Amino acid sequence: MVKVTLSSGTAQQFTNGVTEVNVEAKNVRQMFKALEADFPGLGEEIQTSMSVAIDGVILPDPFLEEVTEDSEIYVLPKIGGG
Amino acid sequence: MNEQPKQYKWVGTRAIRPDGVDKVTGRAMYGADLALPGMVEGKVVRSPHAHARIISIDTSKAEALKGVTAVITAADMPVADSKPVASGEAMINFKDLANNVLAREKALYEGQAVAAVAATTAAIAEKAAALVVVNYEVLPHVIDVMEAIKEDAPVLHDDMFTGGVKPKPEKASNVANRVEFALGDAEAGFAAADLVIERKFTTEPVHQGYIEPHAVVADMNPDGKVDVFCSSQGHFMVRAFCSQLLHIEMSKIKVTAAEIGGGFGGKTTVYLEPLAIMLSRKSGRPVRMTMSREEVFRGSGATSGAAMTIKMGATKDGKITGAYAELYLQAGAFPGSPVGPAAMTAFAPYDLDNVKVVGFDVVSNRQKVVAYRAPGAPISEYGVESVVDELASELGIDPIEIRTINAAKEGTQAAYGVKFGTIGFQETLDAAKATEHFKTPLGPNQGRGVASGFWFNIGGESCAGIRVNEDGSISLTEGSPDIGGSRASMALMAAETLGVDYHSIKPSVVDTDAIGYHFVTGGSRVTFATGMAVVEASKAAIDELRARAAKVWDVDVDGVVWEDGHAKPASTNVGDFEPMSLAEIAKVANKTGGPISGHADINAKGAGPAFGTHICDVEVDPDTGHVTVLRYTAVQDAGRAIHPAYVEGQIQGGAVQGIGWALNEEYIYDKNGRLENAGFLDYRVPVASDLPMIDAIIVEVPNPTHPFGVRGVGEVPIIPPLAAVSNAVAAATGVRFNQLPLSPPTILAGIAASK
Repeated sequence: MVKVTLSSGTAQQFTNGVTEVNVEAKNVRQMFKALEADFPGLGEEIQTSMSVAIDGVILPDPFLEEVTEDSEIYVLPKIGGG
Repeated sequence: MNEQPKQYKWVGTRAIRPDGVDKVTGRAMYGADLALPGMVEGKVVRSPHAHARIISIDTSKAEALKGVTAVITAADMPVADSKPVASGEAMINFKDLANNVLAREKALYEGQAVAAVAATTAAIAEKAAALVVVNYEVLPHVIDVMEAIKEDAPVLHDDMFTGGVKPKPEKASNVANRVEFALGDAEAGFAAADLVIERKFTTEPVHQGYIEPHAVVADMNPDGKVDVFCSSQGHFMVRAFCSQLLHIEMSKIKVTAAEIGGGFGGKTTVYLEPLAIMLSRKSGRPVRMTMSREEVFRGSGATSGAAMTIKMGATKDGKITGAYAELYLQAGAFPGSPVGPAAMTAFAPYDLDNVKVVGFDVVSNRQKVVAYRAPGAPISEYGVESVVDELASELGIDPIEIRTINAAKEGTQAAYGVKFGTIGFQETLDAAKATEHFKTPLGPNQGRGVASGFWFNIGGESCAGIRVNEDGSISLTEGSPDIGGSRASMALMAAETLGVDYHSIKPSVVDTDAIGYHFVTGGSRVTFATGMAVVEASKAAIDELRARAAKVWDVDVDGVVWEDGHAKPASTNVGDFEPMSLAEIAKVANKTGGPISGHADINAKGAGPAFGTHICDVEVDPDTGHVTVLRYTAVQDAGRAIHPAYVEGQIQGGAVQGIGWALNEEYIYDKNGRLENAGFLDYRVPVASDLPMIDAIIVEVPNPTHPFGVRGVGEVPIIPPLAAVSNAVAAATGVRFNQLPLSPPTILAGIAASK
């Protein structure tokens, strides 16, 4: 199982306010699929509109990255810049 | 300015920029400089109303004018779906982008494009634009962000319902989205505090103020192929957006990056480019379009104006126990303010256990905002850094000391979730405290302010090519428009990696047909990400050079190493060979396999966050309210300064723009929502004679994920000035001002109210 941490705002929309959710996944692709299955709309929302930070590294388009039960995974808004 | 430790031969030097001579002699080609045979001039027709329904557009008189080659309206443009589409790191709603480029049903701000014409001369185009008859139904408008969220405010989009809340609202409103981040329990944090301060702040929208207005030349051939030459922060972005908006295959659009006279985020979208292509298609001729300065102000995006509440609590010894922020950011006419990053960065410099940030993205009848250095961060961090300063003052703690007590460090979990890796915030505080500036006494009516800032920095897609020429010189190709001297930085990193003379490398920013996709030059990503691609391409070239030397020596490639620009035997066991220089290997390339090159196409990850700390001294004239900046020092962690002069330039430029935001800059609208100060005479940006030299101090805490330790530097320096200036004015006057800009009338009113 991997632990995915959501912002409180995202959690209010998709997980009844639960900011830490656990899913079975070995990579980000599986993580998205599992999140979508458990919380309809969440996996799609993250894939289309958000970034994921894994162990402190913010990834705008994660997909194939490996995740483990030790990974620190956070879901964030996309970040651009000027 | 301090000198950097020189551990490399080229990296860290202040080499002359390869594009410098062309720029100072006027040879460099900017967006408006290209002229093609048969070219006609385009002109935009803009809405005079802040909010109006477009009943009809009659183009017949304009089309009948002699010399007019084309007139277009939104009817000439495909209808886009209202669906966010990933485009690089950004999410783009192409329906909104299409409407911003050319209004279809409603004009949502004064200056929005509603039609465009092309004619044989600019004068005829201007005359034709005036002959386009647009019949409007004028609607009530709203500009201010707090007015826009009121129940009875005019609603801009009747199909827009606030996102980020559950259940979905049943009534349309101007609040496009809500974001929230929380860590711990903010209320419990306030309960544990000895002192709690809550303040409301406002900031005004400000323009990026780039010197070069938007400009483009587009030429569509009869077979549908398009050549575009324009000033932008990303020619691949221009290609992607035009392809999507006009339903033209990307392979048919070639975009060449003109030199760019500043962008600061404002050129990360398209305005004229799709119009020029459509006009060229209809004219059958190349079309040039340029914005006047007035059009830049009326028709292109600034950053958000904002209103916010900041609440922070601390113990007597300065430990911050709780923090709360509520942010309302103007998005302009379409959703998409930088409220997300504003919320994420607000408290990021600090190690906090209990924090909550709520943010709202609010549309109103003004230009659609577009990125401006560290989008959102200067706004939210202004409020936070002002309250931190007030906490320090009330608690009798030095402003740098209170930041040191609470500073984020490696392992700190930011309020937005991520734990920081190696960061250099404390180092910037230490360097600021050690300056002679911080210790210098002040005189009457003078005050000193301190503030810090944080930005994530980003990576993203970049490519690079290293071609070893027959004479041993190097052609370096990449696709990130050079705004701040990146050609020089790329060449320095290539020279260092290859072990060759910097001057033997010619870097070029090539067109979209010549190299792979690059995300925009923005987010302080180019020296990091494109630099990483250059290093990887250089290493690939080295591998090929080693292989060629191995062929010459008839040994296994593993027996050849690359040192100081030469192939050498890895050990005496390999054989007794004289080292071969890059030029010697290039000379015999035809005998060993043909041309030698190295390429890299990457999606760079691991951009290192950056922090800065600024010190500002001001003198306030109590009779006029005028603020004079006496002295300014900006300290920033650059990770590794590849070209220190350009890093200092970024720090100085950002600081000056932040000072302008703090003291002078604002949009002034009349009661009809029309902009009254659309020019540099009335929209006052600081000029050289207004300010002292900004002392830039580079701190280097290397980013471990970059081969040379680079962190982006372009975003952070605009963040601290807003609060540094405001805190200095508070110290000089004894009055806390919670609104920007700190113009003389505001200062005088504040002083009068305090008496």
